[in-house]
Amino acid sequence: MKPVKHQLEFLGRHEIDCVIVGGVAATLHGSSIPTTDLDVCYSRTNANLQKLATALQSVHARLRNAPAEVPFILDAETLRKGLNFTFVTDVGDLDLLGEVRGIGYYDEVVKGASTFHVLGFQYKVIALDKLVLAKRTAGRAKDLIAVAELETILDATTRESR
Amino acid sequence: MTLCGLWSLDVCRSWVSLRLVLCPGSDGFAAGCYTVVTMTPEEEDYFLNPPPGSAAARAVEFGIDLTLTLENLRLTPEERLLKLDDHVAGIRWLKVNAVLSPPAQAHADETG
Repeated sequence: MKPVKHQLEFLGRHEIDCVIVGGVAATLHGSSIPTTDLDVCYSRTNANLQKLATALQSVHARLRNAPAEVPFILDAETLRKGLNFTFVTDVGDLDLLGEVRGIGYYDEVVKGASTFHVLGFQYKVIALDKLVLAKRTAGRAKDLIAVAELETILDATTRESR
Repeated sequence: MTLCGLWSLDVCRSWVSLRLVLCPGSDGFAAGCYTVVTMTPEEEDYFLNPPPGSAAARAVEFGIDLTLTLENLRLTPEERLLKLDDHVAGIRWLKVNAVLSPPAQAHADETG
C-alpha cells in the first residue's frame, strides 16, 4: 500500500488528462471511508494516451494480478485497444478506467466535475451526484455503504444552497 | 478566477457562514480557505441530529458514523487526503509490526 498522495502527484506531474473517481474522489468530497487505490477515468485522445503510456513506463507499471508470462507491451496503442486497466506501479496501485459504469466515457464523467487544488496540482474530480450514481451502479456492499454517506454530504450541500 | 477558485467559492458558500476568508494564492481563493472558518450550528446539527427521513437519518440507520464525516468536512480536501494516507500508513505499520499470539489457554496447555 503506497500513499495515494504519490499516485496523485504522479498524475499531476505528468499532466494526465483524467477525472478522479472512486474512493479517493469520495475522500476529497468529504467521505470518511478509507481507500487504498486510485481510480481515474482518462481521456482517450491520442495525445493523452501517448502521455499516459510514457508516464506509466516511467513508474514500471505492470498489470495487477496478471500472470508474469502474459505479454503486455505498455504503449499508447495497447491503451487504445483496451479500455479499463488495473496497474501496480512504483507509486502504488492505479486503476485506469475508460468508462465508469452508470455514467459513461470520459466526456460524460468530466461534465460537471469539480476542480480540486491539492498537492500543488489541480485535479478534476467527478461530481458528487455522479459519484453516487456510479457507486450505486457498482452495487457492491462497500459501494452501498459509501452511497449512504455520500448522499448525506450531497443532501447537506444542496440543503444549504436551497 | 480559475475553476478551482469558483469551486472553492461554492464550497465556502455551502459550508461556511458569513466569514469568507481569502487565502494567499494566485487564484484568490485557495484550497483550504474554509479551514479557518466554521460551519453554522444548523449545518453541523444536520449530521449530529439528522432530521427524520433525511439522507443523514438513512445513513445512520445504515451504520455510518456521521461524526467522522463531519470531522472530515471540517478539513480542506488536501487535509482529507493526507488524513487518508496517515490511516493507510497506520494499517501498513500494523501489518508489519503486529505479532499474532496464540490464545492464552492454548499457550497454557502447551506449557503445562
